[in-house]
Amino acid sequence: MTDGYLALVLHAHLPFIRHPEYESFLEENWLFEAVTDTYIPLVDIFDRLIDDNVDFRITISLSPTLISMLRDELLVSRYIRHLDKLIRLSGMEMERTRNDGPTNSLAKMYHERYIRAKYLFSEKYGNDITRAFKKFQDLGKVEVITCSATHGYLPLMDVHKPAVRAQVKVAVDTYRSVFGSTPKGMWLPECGYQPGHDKFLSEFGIRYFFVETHGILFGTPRPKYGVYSPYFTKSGVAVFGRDLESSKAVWSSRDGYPGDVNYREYYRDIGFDLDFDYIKPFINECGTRVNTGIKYYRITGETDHKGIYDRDIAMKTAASHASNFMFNREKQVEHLKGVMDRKPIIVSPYDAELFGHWWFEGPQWLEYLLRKIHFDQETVKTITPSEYLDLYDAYPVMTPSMSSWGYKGYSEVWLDGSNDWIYRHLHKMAETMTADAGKYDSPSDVERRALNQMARELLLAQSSDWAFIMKTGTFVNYAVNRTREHVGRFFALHEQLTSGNIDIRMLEEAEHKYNLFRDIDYKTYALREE
Amino acid sequence: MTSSEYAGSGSDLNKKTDVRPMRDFHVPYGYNDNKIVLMIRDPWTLYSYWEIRREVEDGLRREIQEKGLIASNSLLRVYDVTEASSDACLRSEFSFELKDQADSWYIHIGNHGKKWIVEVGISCTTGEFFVLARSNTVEAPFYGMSEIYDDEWMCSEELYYRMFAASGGYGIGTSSLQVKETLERHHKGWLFSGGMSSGVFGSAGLFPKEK
Repeated sequence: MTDGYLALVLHAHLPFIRHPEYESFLEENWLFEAVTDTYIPLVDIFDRLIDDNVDFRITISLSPTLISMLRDELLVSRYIRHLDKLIRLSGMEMERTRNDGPTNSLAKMYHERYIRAKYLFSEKYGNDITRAFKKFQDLGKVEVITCSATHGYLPLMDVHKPAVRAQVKVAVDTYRSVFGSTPKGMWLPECGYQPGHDKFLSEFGIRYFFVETHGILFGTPRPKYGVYSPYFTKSGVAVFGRDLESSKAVWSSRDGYPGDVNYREYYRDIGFDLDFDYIKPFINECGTRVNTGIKYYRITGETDHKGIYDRDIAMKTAASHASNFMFNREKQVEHLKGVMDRKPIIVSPYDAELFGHWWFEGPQWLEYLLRKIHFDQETVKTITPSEYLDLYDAYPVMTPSMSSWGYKGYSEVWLDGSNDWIYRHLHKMAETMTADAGKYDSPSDVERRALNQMARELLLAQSSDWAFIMKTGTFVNYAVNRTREHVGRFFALHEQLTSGNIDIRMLEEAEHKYNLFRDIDYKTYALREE
Repeated sequence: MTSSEYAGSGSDLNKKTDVRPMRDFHVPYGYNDNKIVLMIRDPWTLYSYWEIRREVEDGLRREIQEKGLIASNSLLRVYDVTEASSDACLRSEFSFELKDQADSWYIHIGNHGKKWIVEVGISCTTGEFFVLARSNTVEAPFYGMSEIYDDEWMCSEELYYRMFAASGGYGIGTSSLQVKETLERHHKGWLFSGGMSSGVFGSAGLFPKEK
């Protein structure tokens, strides 16, 4: 008898990084690493679960920028090149470590892993991994949802609402073009919610979104069920709140599972550990050492003397952590049963890239968890948010509080001394875009292209990633340059449009480089009657 | 977001970005606007930026002079407009003297859940204030349990704190009083330290972080 539900939510996102002007570009590796470490392993475990008739549900948000990159011909070809290098490197590693049994078996593990990744990516899913997610969705196991177009942090756009609306509309349009339907849910980037933004979700047919715990707990009226039930906003879109207890078990670097001493150490990579001449063909072309993805050590403890990674022990640990997670959810549900007059839903959202990239064993943990939930107990069942919304005839109504899941729970990460300079430009771009969208009713073909490119530049400038990177202090130059590029090109195009002298070469270069959102319509930004 | 940068125990080599140049674009220094914008950062902090056209400021200074007054400081004035029904009801909560060509400000406000606007302008030696620009209105979020409840979905304070304890990860069985006290401590902690502990309520994919 099921007493409650668990909604696992993985949010997958990377900013749009594509540099056709260079043969290779360091920051493009972010995508390649995420595909190898996270997306392919997730696809692999979902396939296995389905083959083994394990009934499971999971919700995955794929950001529109990520979807665009995963389907981009240039990036796909570069990814395959990247994977081929890893296959070659791991093969060399098998040879180099042939007299070191434990390390050699790990080298073989990586080699087999990369060969399988290539099979899954290229052969099984035809160089488009989004097809796998569509398949899982069609089978009713995975609910694929979207997030705002470029992962723009919406609360700090509130001063220009057409900009918020456009982030939602372009996301939904992108999703439809790939998955053939309207997304049921939307992941608000960084869980950033501003009261009133739900009406844009409602306008484009979204049924639900998520907020951070205190978005619900500090909502109005008082939430009868805490975060263990969805609530309807006045616009008719449902909101789910994050459960902190289950989140903490995975997120916390101190108390969470990923910090276990038996798990693989992320910060020891052969890209840094091995002789420069040996590793040079596999690191950055400029000669900068980077992670290759091949790592032989386990976390061990707070010491520089790391022990060798033991895959079997790590897998046993992952299984044990999956049991622990399930046990705690059972206890949680049993407790909530005594407090609630309906079956609770525990919403556990995580960044997808935590699984596999940061926490190497994360995908296996997830597989064990889903198997155990299916085979070993009956108290808790996995569910998607849309399925839960179909369980009851009515849900309470509330206005969630402004909130985010960033440090301190609000907008400080994206608005502080390191990044606040961007907002006067982003707001002016949105204001100008709205004005131009109202002004150009019947533009010429070139004018239309310029206006559409302006819309892309605005969206790309709004990626929350740039402000986040400026705040965290790594890759700052890249984030600043990207912001400058989009702001600068936007106003250059605006001036050219106004003067009637559009620089076709510059426009074509921009369209070529930032080739996402091909069907964008600048009129999305035009002011509308409320 | 993936980051090769975090490998290798913080070596500088790991912190390098791809330094090859991207086409250089010019970011405007200003937009020849005369406006002030107000944003919410958290329940107790607002952020405002502004741009004032030189001719607008010169014109205002002439007006002040023509009225026989003496301009003194540039000020940022903050108004609590929660209860204001018209402009005539505006009452300044506090002001900041602006120096060194300041064009933005973080404003720490005492009360959460209130509506605010700000003005940038010039004050006179005799106290009069002349406005250069007035901002949009923002409403900072309310922090804590709502006093409003739904008759159909009644939630007592006792039930609220029981659900809060369960939702907030304080552990099953924590009493409502303990949770209430913890919430109040964090509220006060925020006011004194400038932020809520990340341990209470837990930011982008391939950068290491904790939520």
